[in-house]
Amino acid sequence: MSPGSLKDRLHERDRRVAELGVYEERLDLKEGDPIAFELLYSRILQSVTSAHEVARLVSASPMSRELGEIIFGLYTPEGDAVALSRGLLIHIHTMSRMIKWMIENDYQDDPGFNEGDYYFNNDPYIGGAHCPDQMIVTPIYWEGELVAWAGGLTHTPETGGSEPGGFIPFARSRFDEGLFLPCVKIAENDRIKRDLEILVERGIRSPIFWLTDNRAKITGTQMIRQEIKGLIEPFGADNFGKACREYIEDTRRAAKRRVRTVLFPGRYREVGWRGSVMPRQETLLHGPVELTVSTEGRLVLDYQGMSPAGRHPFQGTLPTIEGLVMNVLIQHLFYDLKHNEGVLMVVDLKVPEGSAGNPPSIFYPTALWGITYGAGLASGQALSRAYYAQGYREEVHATSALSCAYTAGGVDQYGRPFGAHNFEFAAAGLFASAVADGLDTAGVEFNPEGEMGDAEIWEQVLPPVYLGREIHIDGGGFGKYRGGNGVLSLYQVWGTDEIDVGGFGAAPIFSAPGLMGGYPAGAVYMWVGSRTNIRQLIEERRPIPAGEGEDPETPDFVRQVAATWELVHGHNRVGTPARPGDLFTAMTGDGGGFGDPIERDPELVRRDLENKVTTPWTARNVYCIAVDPDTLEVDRQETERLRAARREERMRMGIPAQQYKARERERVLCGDFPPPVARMYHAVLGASEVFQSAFREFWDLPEEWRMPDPDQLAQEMA
Amino acid sequence: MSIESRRRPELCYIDVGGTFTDAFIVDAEGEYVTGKAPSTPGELARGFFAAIGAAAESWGMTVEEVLRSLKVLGYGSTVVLNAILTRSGRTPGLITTSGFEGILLMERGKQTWVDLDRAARLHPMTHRHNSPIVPRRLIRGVTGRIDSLGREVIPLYEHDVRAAAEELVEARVDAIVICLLWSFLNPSHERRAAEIVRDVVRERGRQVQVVTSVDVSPMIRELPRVNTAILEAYTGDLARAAFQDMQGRLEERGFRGQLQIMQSTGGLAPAVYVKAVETIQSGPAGGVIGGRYIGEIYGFENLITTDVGGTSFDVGLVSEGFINVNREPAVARMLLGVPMIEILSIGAGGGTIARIDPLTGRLEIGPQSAGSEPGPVCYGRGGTEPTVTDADLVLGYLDPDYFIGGRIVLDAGSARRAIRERIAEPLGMSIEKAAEGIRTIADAKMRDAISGLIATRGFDLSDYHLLAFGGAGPSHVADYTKGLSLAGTMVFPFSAVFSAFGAASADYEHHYTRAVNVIVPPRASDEEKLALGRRISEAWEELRVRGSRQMEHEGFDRARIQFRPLAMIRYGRQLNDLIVTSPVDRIGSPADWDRLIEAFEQLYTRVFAVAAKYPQAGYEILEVGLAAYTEKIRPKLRFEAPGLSAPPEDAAKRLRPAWFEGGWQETAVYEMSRLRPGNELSGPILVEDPTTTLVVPPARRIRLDGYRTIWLEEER
Repeated sequence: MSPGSLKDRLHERDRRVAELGVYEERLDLKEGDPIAFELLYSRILQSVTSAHEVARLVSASPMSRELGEIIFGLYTPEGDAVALSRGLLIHIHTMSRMIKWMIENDYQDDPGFNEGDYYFNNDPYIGGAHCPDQMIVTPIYWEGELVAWAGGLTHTPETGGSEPGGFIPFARSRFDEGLFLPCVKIAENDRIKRDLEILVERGIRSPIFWLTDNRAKITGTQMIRQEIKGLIEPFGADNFGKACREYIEDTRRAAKRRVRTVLFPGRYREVGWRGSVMPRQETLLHGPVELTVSTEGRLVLDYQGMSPAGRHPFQGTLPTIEGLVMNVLIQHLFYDLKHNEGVLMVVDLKVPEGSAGNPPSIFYPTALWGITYGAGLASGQALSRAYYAQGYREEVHATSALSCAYTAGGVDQYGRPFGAHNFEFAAAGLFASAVADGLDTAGVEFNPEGEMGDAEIWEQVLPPVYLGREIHIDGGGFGKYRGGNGVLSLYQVWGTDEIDVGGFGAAPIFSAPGLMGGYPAGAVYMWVGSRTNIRQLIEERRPIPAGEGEDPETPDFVRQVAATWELVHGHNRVGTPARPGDLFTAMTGDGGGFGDPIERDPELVRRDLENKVTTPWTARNVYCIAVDPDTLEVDRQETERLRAARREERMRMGIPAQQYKARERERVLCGDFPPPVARMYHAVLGASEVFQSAFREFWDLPEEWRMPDPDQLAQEMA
Repeated sequence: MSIESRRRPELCYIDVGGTFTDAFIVDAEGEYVTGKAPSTPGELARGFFAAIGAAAESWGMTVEEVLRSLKVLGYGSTVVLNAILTRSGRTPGLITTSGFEGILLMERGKQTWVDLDRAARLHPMTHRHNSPIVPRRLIRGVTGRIDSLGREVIPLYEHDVRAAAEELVEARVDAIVICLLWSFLNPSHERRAAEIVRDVVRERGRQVQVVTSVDVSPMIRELPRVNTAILEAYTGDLARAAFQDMQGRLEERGFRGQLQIMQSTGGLAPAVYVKAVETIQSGPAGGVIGGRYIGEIYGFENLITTDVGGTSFDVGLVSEGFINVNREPAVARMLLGVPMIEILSIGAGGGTIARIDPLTGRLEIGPQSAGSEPGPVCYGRGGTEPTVTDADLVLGYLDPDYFIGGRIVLDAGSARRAIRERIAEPLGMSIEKAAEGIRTIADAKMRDAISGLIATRGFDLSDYHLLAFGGAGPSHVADYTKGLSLAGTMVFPFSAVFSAFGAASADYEHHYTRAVNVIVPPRASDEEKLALGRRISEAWEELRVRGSRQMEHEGFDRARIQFRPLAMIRYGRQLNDLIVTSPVDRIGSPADWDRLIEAFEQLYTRVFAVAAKYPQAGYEILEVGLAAYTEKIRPKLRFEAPGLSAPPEDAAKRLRPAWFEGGWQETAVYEMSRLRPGNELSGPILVEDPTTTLVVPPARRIRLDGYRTIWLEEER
């Protein structure tokens, strides 16, 4: 065992890795007995997997129990991940950061580490993405020496913020987001401290989720601790420690080989977008990425040009973007490796300081971590292009859905205070790939095991009742392979007179871009109908709407129910009192499409029509397919004619790329941007000289050109 | 007719597997014989009768003689499972809550990955939706809503139901399934809808089955409930026709009783009454029931059953005398709301394929299997990828001329070649080392499955006896139990037909559940305990009446029917409950209530952790259940006082080189059937039987007890 304090050991580890570029120089155990080496790893993996399976049963939160929003891991004494369960993969690295933060901040001396201690953290600047990401770690001791850490993380549906549900759509500072407990010891001698439980019981709306999630994490980490001690006993602590380090190095080497094998070296650029819809400050956020694939098998992801941090919740912390990138890489590149610190070692992340992916202080709110999500998805697209260049078409994919949902708080149907959001967006529309349609209602980027939970479970947690939960018709981006459609749910307020209903999501701009000619998925929105005549409709047995129907311009519910209807673009809505009988919708978002829609196989469109997830209008006008609306038979000849006509129309309308660029340059020169776009570029160009220089070069702008500030212009005009 | 044919067979159990059909026949004295015949999927009856014939032959009897004598004939049927897997059921339509017509296409997301392994689950490019059993065009939504407290939000629009029924009948469906939200809590809408549908069916003069979800799967969660109801409609008629056909054929050949079907929860029920969805896991249940029966014979309450077959390793648990039940199983990528015996199945059997991962250079075993066709390389049927059986053969554990009693001659040369080319050379090791590696990893996966299942249930291995069976179980048991601190390890001379033996020991049994929605506040007063307890007692009583009626109707003596009351309990607002066997039959006092809650607290602490307890949140009991059962004749294990520790001379067959501890050793081979109670032998030895081989490595020994059960022990 290495001598010295954990802090010394951590610094030594950092020095060694920086100097040698490897985690462990020799794989003695692996080379000595490769089979025993794998067997030990399978036992470690089993320990974290078992913890994941059991712990979720303890929680009262549907996100842990039903949706698998929970993950467990084993860490070295210095805090590097050795093995991770399945689950909330975005948090591959967040618990690692928490452990290292405690070590760096001398927790070993005060408050001290002991067997049976459990430390809690939900501060995203230490580890995690936002206040609802709550982690617990416990040290594992062997013969008086700290030999490993076990950790568990859940995403909890309520945090005691200024609005219910954890996702605070209009947070202006950290203090709107709820109760933060940064690396606090919540249990000693395997017993939870009651005073800290009371803090939670009196501090948030639905303490049951937080407190049972804690029990789940303690149960799981105890299981890991017990199993690991059983493994150390015959193997010895030194050997065990050496094996853990070799697993990390083994992964690093395998990851490097994978990069060299399947990605074509080069530089790939993509951009992700998100919107901030803070009152009177509507703007877009810019999340560009440049991926460099080196011939040696390293990946560099550079986010130069990311929007600066601001007083809105659409930014993330460094651990967030780190987690998102690792999550993308694990799902699309390293899915079959040992998932640990070694994955991170082949990646360099460059996130500009002061940007919305690396805010300048901990006071910037991160409730919706929007642009880091956008940049993470853009990283996946860049990866797809590198796959494409190497010829691995089956791994090429567009972008998955954005996360959005409704939030509510008040008194529930059982007479208890509550606050939560509906997390059915964990099964939103997935990306189209270069070989297949995106899956409908199947997943989300941060957790590959998509699961929306049954409506009957959500109706126990949140009082509104579903009037419909349907596949969002034509939600996915059009394409040769269309994006997956998400969920569109219609709710009726019911069972309580005391409820606020809000929503969160993105600005009115697409969030899931298409790829190689595929369309992006549409922007999300939320309808709210108050003072409805639903009671009268029921009494008269007239039709009750179940969803949007085929015409989003005039949804079924707007046609059928007399009400004061409000359309909320971007889904962000402050929690607003609602009354029984009010109706509202929530969408989960949809996936981006791939390829030219007029190359789509008519049979796929016919199938979609049969399943009622597209419309005859779309078939004809987007896919140029002639289909009989009654029999769903495709007229091949007429389809060919429609497609030929569409190609001719494109030829007529198209202009050469240089001409297009020149035309757009004129718009740039005179500042012809919609205000949200102008705000975005004004902020980004002011914050990043590198990006400004690239922007100027691309558009060939004169030295004196300045991006106009639309707000200043507006003030001057006023 | 020979002397042997004076036997009086009373019970026969037929287990139809993917490759073989097993018969297990028990006579009035509890003596038994077994028979095996190839399964005949296209014509089930042929394999069915061939297996009976093979067993009957051992007693010098004909099939007809056996059938005329039988009182009970049990059947582990794969009819329903096969219909689901091959998508060869009927054409049901679905009526569901308006706005939920897309439920089968959405699949809650989870059904796109539920059966995948870790790497595939993490890799979304491998996920896919199922093709729904009921296409969207045969699904209709009807207006009407019940809420989470069972209250009516919107009354049922009866005209919607009528229109839906008319359209579906017009579309020529064979069955109409009705599944509405919260019907398990308040079934009034679903039942009224069923009445309307039946009226329409009658008016149209059609034969259309009507299935309500509350009657098939009265459980929370609408997707598993609707799936279960659909599968009942999809396979019910087929299953009934298949069972009726079999009953007719049996009667033609002299059987006078009622064919009994093994249910997924481990009890037999008459074929004419059983629900199709309750037989989905009919076959594998036998092994676990056998485990419970062995436990009763030996006085053990905790047992682990391990079944190593051709494609999988199946683990089941009996804890404190009760078989663990999975209430949320997934079958054929569908989440179901019908309880089944919990069986953890991993891809590690004789036919499991070994390969080197090209990227990591790691030796990987499974989950892919060579199955029975082409099978392992050594079968010589075209298999090219080395399997666990090939490794067993290369290491000398299997006799190439005595596999399945010599019916398949194994080709050791091909097995060696495949292991050399695909495993040994890439890893830079000898063929034997590579074969040993294949076995070691396969056995470690099995060991991990056992310890993982025990760990995830919060149990302690040292409380459990492990039973090894299945054709390949005895060959691997020594390795997959290595390092596990078990109470004991048992191997059976009839390992290859243990599942059929187990099923033959099953009781007649039915399970019932009912929603009660009891919310218990923290620190409930005595009055509250009494009031809530009354609701639970009433529900148990209702189920008891249902159980009595049904079993009496099925011809069982009321006085012999026994009941086991169950309560599904959780802390307030938790989403997972534990099935608690109530220590009291009814709750007549606050003390009775406290005993029920104490039973929950004890179980909870054992399964989870002390720190996970949360009585401050109160309790919820959303469902109660009842098991109704009655006993029947069972096979008896004949006891013979143990004799000499040395085996009889004719038990020793010869010496054969086998690979142990990194080298070849001349190893004694024994014939399993010739070993006698009391015999003790030390490893390394091989103990053979036509259907299996027990591998006893160095430092392990075996001992036969009075039942001829082989105890595998550490060398003293």
